Order: sequence, then structure tokens, then C-alpha cells
Amino acid sequence: MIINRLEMFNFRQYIGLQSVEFSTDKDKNVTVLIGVNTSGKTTIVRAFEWCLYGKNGFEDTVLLNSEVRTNMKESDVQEVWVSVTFTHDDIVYTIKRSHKYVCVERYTENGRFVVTLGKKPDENVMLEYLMKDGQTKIPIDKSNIDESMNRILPKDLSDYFFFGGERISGIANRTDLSKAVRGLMRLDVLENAYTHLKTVVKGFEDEIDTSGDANAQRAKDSLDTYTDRKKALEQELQNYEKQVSYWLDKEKEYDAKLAKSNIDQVKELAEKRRNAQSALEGEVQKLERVKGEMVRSFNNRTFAYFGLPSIKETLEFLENQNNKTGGVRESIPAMEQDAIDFLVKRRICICGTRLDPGTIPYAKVMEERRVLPPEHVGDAVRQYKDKSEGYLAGTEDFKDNIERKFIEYRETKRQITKLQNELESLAGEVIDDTEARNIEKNRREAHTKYLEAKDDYDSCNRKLGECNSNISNCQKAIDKFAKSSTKNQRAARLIAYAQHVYGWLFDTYKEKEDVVRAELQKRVNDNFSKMYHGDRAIEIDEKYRVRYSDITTEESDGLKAVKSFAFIASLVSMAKDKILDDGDMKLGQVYPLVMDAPFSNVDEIHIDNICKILPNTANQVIMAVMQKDWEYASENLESYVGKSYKIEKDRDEFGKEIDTATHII
Amino acid sequence: MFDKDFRITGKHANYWKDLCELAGNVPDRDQHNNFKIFSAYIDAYVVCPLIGFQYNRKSVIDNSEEGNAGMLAEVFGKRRQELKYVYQIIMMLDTDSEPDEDKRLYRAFKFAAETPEDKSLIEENMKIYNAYFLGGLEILHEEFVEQCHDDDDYLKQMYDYVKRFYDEQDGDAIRDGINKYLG
Repeated sequence: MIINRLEMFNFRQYIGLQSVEFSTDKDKNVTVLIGVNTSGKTTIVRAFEWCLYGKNGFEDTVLLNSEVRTNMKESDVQEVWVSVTFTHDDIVYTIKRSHKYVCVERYTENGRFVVTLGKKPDENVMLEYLMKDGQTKIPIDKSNIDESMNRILPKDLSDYFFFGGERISGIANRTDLSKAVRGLMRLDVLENAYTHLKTVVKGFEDEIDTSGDANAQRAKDSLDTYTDRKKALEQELQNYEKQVSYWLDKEKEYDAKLAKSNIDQVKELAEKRRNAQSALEGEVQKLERVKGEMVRSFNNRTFAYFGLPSIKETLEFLENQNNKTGGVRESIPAMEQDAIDFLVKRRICICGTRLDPGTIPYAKVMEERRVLPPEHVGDAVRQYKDKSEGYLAGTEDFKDNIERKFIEYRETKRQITKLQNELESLAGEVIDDTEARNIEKNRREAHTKYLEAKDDYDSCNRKLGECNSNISNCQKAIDKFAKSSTKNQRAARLIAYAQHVYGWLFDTYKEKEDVVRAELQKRVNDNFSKMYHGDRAIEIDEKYRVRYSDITTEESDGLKAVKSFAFIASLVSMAKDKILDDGDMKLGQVYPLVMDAPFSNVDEIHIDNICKILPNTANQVIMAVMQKDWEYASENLESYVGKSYKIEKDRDEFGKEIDTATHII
Repeated sequence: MFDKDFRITGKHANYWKDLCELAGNVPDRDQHNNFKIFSAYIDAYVVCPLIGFQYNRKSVIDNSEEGNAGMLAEVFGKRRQELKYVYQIIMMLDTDSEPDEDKRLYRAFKFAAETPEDKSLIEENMKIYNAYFLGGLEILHEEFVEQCHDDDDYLKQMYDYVKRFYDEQDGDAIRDGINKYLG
């Protein structure tokens, strides 16, 4: 980042528009603003801080020039703004921040005008950049301005570039400088990347569903068991089928023999038996059907039937709510509050009655409004009643249907018992003919065997059906887990990738951090020895704090400032020299140094030494200095100064300086 | 609400299985092969909370015995309106959990969790619904499974239970009362 221009309008003691162009020349990279004490040097650094980051460092937070303020009349609006134009990565940006103040009161007190301003000024920020054609300006979306500025020059690091003399001494003594060093050297890019990868890995790990594997294994085991069982059951079923058909044939055979019999009695018996048997089969089927129907009846709107007492209570409850003052009422169907709002606004009801606030018609429509959607439950209550009506409509016959089905069930059962008894007694009838009696005996045996085999067949067939449905369920489960297993494999692969990249980034980070530490140590010491005229050496500890090599007891503000200068100069020069860049990895940055009264605590010899080094460390140096300090500094800096300004105050008719009318010329 | 998979464990899961036709892969099907009064889990899930509420029986999960039964969220789809209706009934009437009438009215008609407060309110309400569901399962289990041995017993009990409920509650009077409100 290189700063091209600063503009201030009615900012603090600077009245009207001040415009300062900074030197962007590579060799003559110093811009100097010379002023006396209290002339407004610090305000310049603060103008940068406010414009770029919204930081307001003044005790009295009103930024508007006092003279402009005093001349405001009630409801007058005055604006104060600062804009900074800078170049970053070959793109020219302009950021402008403004406050609009409104005068809410103006009165005289002790012969002086007092102007009260609205509590909070209206703030506006705008960041735009110039396209390569040098003409088109593209604004950056307001919500992204903070983030964009932070990317260009992180706010956390800003006090390494914008600082006053009194602040510089503290820098090298801070408790932990690692964050600043990493930020300035852009090592944080690598750090953020590998920290981010950690969360990425965690995310993928959460995606892996290991329970799926166990479930899949269980489903596979079950599938094997069911498949074996199915084979066995099919075998069994075949056997039962053979038995069934064997005994059925036998029975038929005996039946046929009996039918051939010439004895009338036998013929008649066989006929009766056939009839009873077929009636019985019909009734057994009917019984199953009736059972199913009864369960179905029971399952039809059961909740509405068993809910009858509760539903009645809810309707009572809603009615009570309705009767309460301001309670729930049913609303006019399909009407919303907007409709009433419309009527109230036009002040005439649909019926032509005037709707003036305070009148009864007005109160009535407003009462109606309260029960209308979207706010009120009135509509929902009506829907509830509609639903109740619908659900209850199916329940009038609930009990009777069940009763009817139950009666049918009992009748069918009775019928079955009757037919069974009939068959029993038919079988017990004594046949006179000996041979026929024997055939009948065999037939009965065959019939019993047939029934047994049929029972076995049915039960085996049921089991086979269950087994088949279990097999298909296992299959579905396996398919489902196979899908999740593919997902798991993918996640595992991604984790491996992420971990590999993490390792690579982490190693690179460590490697580069070592370079930074070694180089910083070297440069800090080097700069310090060039700046400091005594014989002390300094070193960097693990948190990048600057320490004296020997244990020293005394440290003047001047020494602190020299130490901090050595530190900042080294850091900035390392960024400038792009010591970490290699191949495609471009980490080097360009930083300006904006200083206010940097030499206020430093003696002449140190000023001299620091000035020899400063222009070579940073790409751009902007300093607001006191006239007396400049006399020492100019000796070494003169040849680097690209632009120079004076900060001056207007004078009144007696030649006295006016504090509120400062200019940069 | 009624849009996530629902699962219970322990004693009540077994009760649920005893009362409903079992579909799909049920490993312990053989232990629950009695006659079923409900065609599916969802049927019991709609009715039992009302039965529990009617007889003032709430319950909590009891894991003293092993059991596991549940429904997938898809099952709720067709029956959501009925479920919401039963939920509303309980929310309006359950004074144990909320004595204040206005609050009961609010919670019965608040389905959308637009704020964190509403979200936690609905979660609490679902706990009440499910507590009555478990209570209802217990009642029906006692009435049916513990008293019936064969199909005949179940069908007789089904008839008796329906009839007894009507007589006990004086169904005719209730119907008249309801008709008065619904006009």
C-alpha cells in the first residue's frame, strides 16, 4: 500500500478543504509536514485512522471543525469528511468517510454561542477503485468495505504504520508481537490456510458414518441366515405340498369308492358331507374376512372416536376464550388485517359509515381487526373447527360398525361350530355295510392327515413369506449402507488429501518462520547498532519481543523509541525486500510509514542516525515533525524528501493564531 | 413438528409392537406374534396420546427391559394433519403442564418455530405429546395384550372397549354438546 493523497474537509482544526499529495517517488520517498507544537500533526495520523478504519481517537468525539459548528443554525446540516487515495497491487483505491451533523439547538450562554448537535452523526463510507483505463470507478459494496480494508492493511497492524512519537516507544515492549510479525510478513496467510484445513479435516471426519459398517455387517449376517432358512423352508414346503396332495388324493379316492357303492345310505352320507364341507370352507374364509373388516373399522378415525370428550372440551374452551373480553373470536373468512387498515385509512366503512378514531364504528372495526390474520389465531380457530367437523363426520357409525362386525363375527363362528358338529356327527353315523365302513374309516383318516398336512403347509408358507420379506429388507439395508460406505471412502480420501496439504503448509510455515526469525534478529541488531550510539546489542525472544543482550536496569523513553524504530524498520524492510517470496508464493508487501512527531523523545544524535536508515527501510515515509526536530532531521533526509508541506494557522486582526483555522500549505 | 424419525426404546417399544401390525424387518417378530388391534405404528401414535390424556396417564421411557421401535419421518406425511389435530387438543386442554389459558391457546396454535423461544416451546410440547403417547400405550396394553389370549379374546375386547367407552363417556350427550358448538 502506497498512499497517494489525503483530503480533509472541516476535519477538526483543519477548516475547509485540505489536500495533501504524498511523494510516491521511489528514491525521494519521504513526505514531510512541518508544524509547530499543537499545530495539528497528531490530527493527521488520526485522520488516516478514522478514514481507513473508523477509529475515532479524540477525547471530544465530534469531528466537525469548531468554527463551522459555532456558525450552524437550528436544523442546519454540516458535513465533515476525510478521503484517502492509495495504490495497492497496482490498483488505485479511494476511501472516503463522512459524518453529517445536524444542529438541534442554538443558544447564547455568557455571551457565547452554544450549538448542540444531534446525538449521532450520520456516517457514510465509500470505497472505490479505478479501473486500469484510469477513468472508470467501481464502488465496492458497503458490506464488504471493512473486510476489503482489512485485507489491504489489517486494522490490527495499523498502529505499526500510523503512529505518534509517544506511541512508538511502547511498540517493542509489547507482550506478544508474534501476531504482528506473522501479519506483516503475511505468514498469517499460511497459518490461516493450515488452521482452516484442520477444520476441514474435522468436517470430513464427522461425515464418516462408522455405524453404517456395523449395520451393514449385521444385515449381511442376517441375509445369510435368512437365505439358508429360505432354502430349508422351500424344501419343507415341497414336502408338505406332496403330503397335502397325497392325502387329498387318498381322500378323493376313498370318496370315489364310496360313491360307487350301491348302498343308498352311503351315497346320501357322502353327499351331505360334501355339502357341509364346502359350507364350512366358505364360513372359515368369511370369518377371516370379517376379522379383517372389524380391525379396519377399529382403525378408521379411531382418534376422533376416542377423542370425543376431549374435542367437546376444546370447543368449550374456545367458546370461553371467545366470550372473554378481547378473547379469541372467529374471524371473517378470507379477510386479513390489511382490509381493515384500508377502510380505516379511507375513513369510510363499506356501509358508508364514517370511521373516525374515538367513535363506536371505529372501535368496532378495530375490534374485528384484532381477530384477523396474520397476527391473531382467529383464523386458525376457525380452521380447527372445520377440521373437527370433518373428522367427527366419520365417527357417528364407529361404535355401530364395530358392533355390526362383531355380531357378524360371532354368527360366523357359531355357523362354523354348527358345521363342524354336523360333519362330526355325519362321520359318526354307523354304516351297515362292512366294506363301506372300512372305506369310510380310511377316508376319515386320510381327511385328518390332509388337514394336518394343510396346517403344516400353511404355517410353512407363512414363514417363507416372512423370510422373503426379511431378505428383501436386509438387501435394502445393505444397499443403503453400501452407499454410505462409498461416501465414507470418499471422505477418507479427502481427509488424506487435506492432511497432506496441511503437512505441506505447516512445514512451509515453519520453514518461513525460521527465516523470518533469523532475518529479523539480524536486521534488528544491525539497525539498532546503526541507530544507537552506545554499545548495546539487542535480540529477539520467542515472542519476537526485543530484549537487550545484557541485563540492563535503565531504559529511557529515547532508548525505547530507538529500539522500536529498529524493530519496525527491520520488519518493514523485510516485507519490502520480499524475503519470503519464492516461486508462485508472493508474500512480500509494500507498507507506508506514517509518523507523527517521531523524534519527540529522541536526542539529536539518534535523530541523525534514524534518519539515515528510515528512507531505505520503508517504501514510503510520511512524517509530521516539529520545526525544531526537522532542523536536525533534514540534514540526512533532505535528499529523500519528495514533497514538503507546512501546517499553519490563520491569524486574527491582532496577529494571534486562530486554533480552529488550520491549513496545510 | 412430526417431521423427524421417531424412535422409542425399552418397555414401551415392546408394547407398541404388541399392539400394531409389524411391517419390514423386525428381528423379534416372533415375540410379538399376537393379534393386532392397530394396522400400523402410526395408527397407535395418533390414538394413544388421546387415550393417555383421557385417562390422565403420562409415562416416561422405561429401559428396564430391552426394546426398540420407531418410524421414519416419511410415515408422518399423510397423517400429519391428524397428528397436529390431536396435538392441538392436548395443548388446549392439558392444564397440568400449563395452567394459564392464554398460554395454552397460544401453544395450541403455534406451529412455526420462528424464534428460539417458540422452538423450545414446541420441543416442550412434543415431550408432553409423547408422554401421553406412552401412557396410552400402557393403557391399551393392559386392556388388550394382558387380558387376551387368542383372536377371539381380542375381538371381543375390541367391541367391549369401544362400547364401554361410549357408555362411560355418555357418547350421545357428548355428540349433542359438540353439535351445539359446531352448529
